[in-house]
Amino acid sequence: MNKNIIFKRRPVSLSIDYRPVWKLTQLLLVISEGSNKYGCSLLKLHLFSWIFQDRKRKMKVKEWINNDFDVSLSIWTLSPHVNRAVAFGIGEELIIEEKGKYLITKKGAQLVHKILEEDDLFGDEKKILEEFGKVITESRIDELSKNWK
Amino acid sequence: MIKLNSLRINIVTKGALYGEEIQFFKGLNVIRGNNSSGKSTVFQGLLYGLGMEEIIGGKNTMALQYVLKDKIKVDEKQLPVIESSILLEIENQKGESITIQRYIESDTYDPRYVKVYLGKIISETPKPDIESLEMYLHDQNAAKNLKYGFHAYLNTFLNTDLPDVSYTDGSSKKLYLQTIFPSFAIEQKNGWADFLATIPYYKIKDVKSKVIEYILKLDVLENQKNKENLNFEKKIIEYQWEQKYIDLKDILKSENLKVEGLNIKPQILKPEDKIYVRRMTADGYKNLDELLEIFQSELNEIEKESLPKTGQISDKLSKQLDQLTVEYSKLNFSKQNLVNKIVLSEKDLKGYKKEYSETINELENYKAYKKVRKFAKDEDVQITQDLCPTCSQEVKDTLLPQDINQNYMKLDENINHLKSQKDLYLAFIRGQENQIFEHEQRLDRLSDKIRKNRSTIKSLNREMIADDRIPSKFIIEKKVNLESQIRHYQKIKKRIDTELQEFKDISKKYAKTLGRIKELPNAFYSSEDLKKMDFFNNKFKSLLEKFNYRSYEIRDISIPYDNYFPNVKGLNLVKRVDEKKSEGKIKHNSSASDFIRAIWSYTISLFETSYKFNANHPGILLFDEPSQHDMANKDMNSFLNVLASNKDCQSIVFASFGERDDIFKQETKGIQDFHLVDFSRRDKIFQLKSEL
Repeated sequence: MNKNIIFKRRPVSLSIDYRPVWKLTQLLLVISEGSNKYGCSLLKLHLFSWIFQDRKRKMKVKEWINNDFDVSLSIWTLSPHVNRAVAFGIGEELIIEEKGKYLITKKGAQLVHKILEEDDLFGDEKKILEEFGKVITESRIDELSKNWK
Repeated sequence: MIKLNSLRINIVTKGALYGEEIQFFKGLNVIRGNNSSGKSTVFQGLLYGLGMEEIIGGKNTMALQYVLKDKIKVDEKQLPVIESSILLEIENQKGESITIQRYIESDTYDPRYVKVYLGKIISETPKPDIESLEMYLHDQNAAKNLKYGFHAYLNTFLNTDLPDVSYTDGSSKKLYLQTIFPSFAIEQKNGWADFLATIPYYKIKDVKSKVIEYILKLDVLENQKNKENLNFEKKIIEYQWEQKYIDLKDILKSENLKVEGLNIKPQILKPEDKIYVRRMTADGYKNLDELLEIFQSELNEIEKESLPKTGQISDKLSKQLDQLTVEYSKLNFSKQNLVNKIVLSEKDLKGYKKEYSETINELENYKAYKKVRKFAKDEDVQITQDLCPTCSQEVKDTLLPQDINQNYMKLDENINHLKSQKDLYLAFIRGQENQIFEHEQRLDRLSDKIRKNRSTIKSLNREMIADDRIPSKFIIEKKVNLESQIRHYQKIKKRIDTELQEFKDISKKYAKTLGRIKELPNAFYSSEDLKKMDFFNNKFKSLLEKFNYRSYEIRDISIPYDNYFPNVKGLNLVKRVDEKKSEGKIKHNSSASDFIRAIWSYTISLFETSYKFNANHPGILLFDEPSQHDMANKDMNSFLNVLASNKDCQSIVFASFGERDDIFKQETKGIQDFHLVDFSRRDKIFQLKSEL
């Protein structure tokens, strides 16, 4: 009997949330559909990325808004993969940073435009952004993050 | 049909009221005003008054000009606007008038608030106590709730019977009123970019086609609806049948019976089809009639002999009692085990279901992701090639740290992985559900057996302590039991007969529905539809010719039946965007001014086709700045001429005529009958009306 057992490393499945282009496109949507012309803060990108991850979180956010932002939103995750997606975005020249806010480039806007035209892409994300994007302002997020300290 | 009568715009500043009042008439109305004098504000005011501002780019005041919500310029000074509002008087088919009031800037009223006066209050002086209704817009219920929703009210007032259409989330709801406006109101900023360019995003499937089908009242909408209805009916029948089948099976299972000759899917039952109910016994299968016979003969057996006395059979009875007691405790033990198993299985099932729905979600996302990646690749995004955008080194397709020594599945590989994952969970769920079902059936049978056992033990116990000389109660009970069993099975037999009759009825209905589905026309277009489309196509081409369209040979252009939008030799006609972007793409471009001619032609022929065939066009056309610098004046002249010749259509054209009198004269030359509102002598349209 052969005494050697050989293991072969097989590629593993990866959650869509960790695919760079997927996350990056989500973030582009947040900047273009969910923020004003002065851009979007990193915290806001994190917040929406977090909301997109799980349907239950949407309800949580809704509750937070309905309570006039009064109760603090129980801690949301700052995940390093969002930062990596932002870095990719800057590298790809889809996003630029200006005064601590992220803005979308022309190239990024062209991509977003195509995504917006397709009804079957990012339906949930579009709906969430339409509902909350403008409502959750940067100052709300600032206030929220102050409570963490 | 809708006719606009008059519009009043009020802008209140600290000390004075500014604004303007404009009347509109049937036929051609020309609003002449210089660039940035407030022409577009008037156009937007009309749409805002109807709650249609979404087609200029946003709900409520988002898309409106600053003069209405921020500052008004008076004698080189910017005065802050304290309050601004729109009053719009409109008329319907029956000649009834209402006046709509809506605020833009106001401390008291939300932009979503709409007040409707039931009468004219601009063109006539109203009674001071004129009746009015208060409504809301863009509220969740704005389009549906008749009592408070403005658009629902407007639908009724204008008698627009909007069809139900499919939404991308699978539901079927009414087409929104906002979606049909871009087919007759062409807005300056985006309206000239494409046919029906400004339809807001509502997740309606194939919305542009639905709008054209509605405006032209095509039967195809009706036919499609019929098909959907019939398919729905078929689904319902299938569901009824399945439910009935499962119910019947359940009833029979608790009696240890099985039905033969029926399936879970609907069947077309023919008279020679045999359907019967039977049970597996120690002597093989017995059908219901045979079972009844067996009971009857057992009963006859007992009745033949005289009843034995208890004392005669006491040994036999006590042996039987011992046996039964042991069996009884065994049965109870199995029952307890079974209950535990069911609880555990149900917990597993819940877990599988959760995993399954998450996998489905992920799979959908992965499928969408393929499209997203393609778009990103088109924009030269480097990571779609697994290359780092800054250093062009190879990178792994992941947002996990790159230095983890692990390879990740490629897209298709991952999709296949998820698909097999999904099948796996589905198999788990099916298996688990079957197991639970079987366990529950067994539990029912066990409980039943335990019950019977208990009552037999009871009667045996009673018998043991009874007087030796009286007749055996046990035998008497057995007789009574047999009699009741016979009655029970006769009842079941009767019930099954009615059930089978119901299956036959459903089967008849099913055959009928299948027949009707087969009868549906293959092509959904009726002959009337084809006539309309022919007329539409010819009208469109003759107008292109009239307006001097030259980008393509007009004989190569047509509006196909199944798409409703012009194409050139099979490819869609689009506006030429910047050269770089469309490079290498197979799309047919018109020059910018020619594309405007195409939109003129399309919009007018849509009206004329609807008018000729008495379809659903509301009979109004609105154009904001329909001319281009490089357009020949005589083409604009032809355009206005065609509009003026459509006397039953109210057309309103906002134009600057290059801010020159000679151009205005050339472009309106020969047009007798039109209503001119001339603001060209004013710097700003909105003027001081009164001091406060």
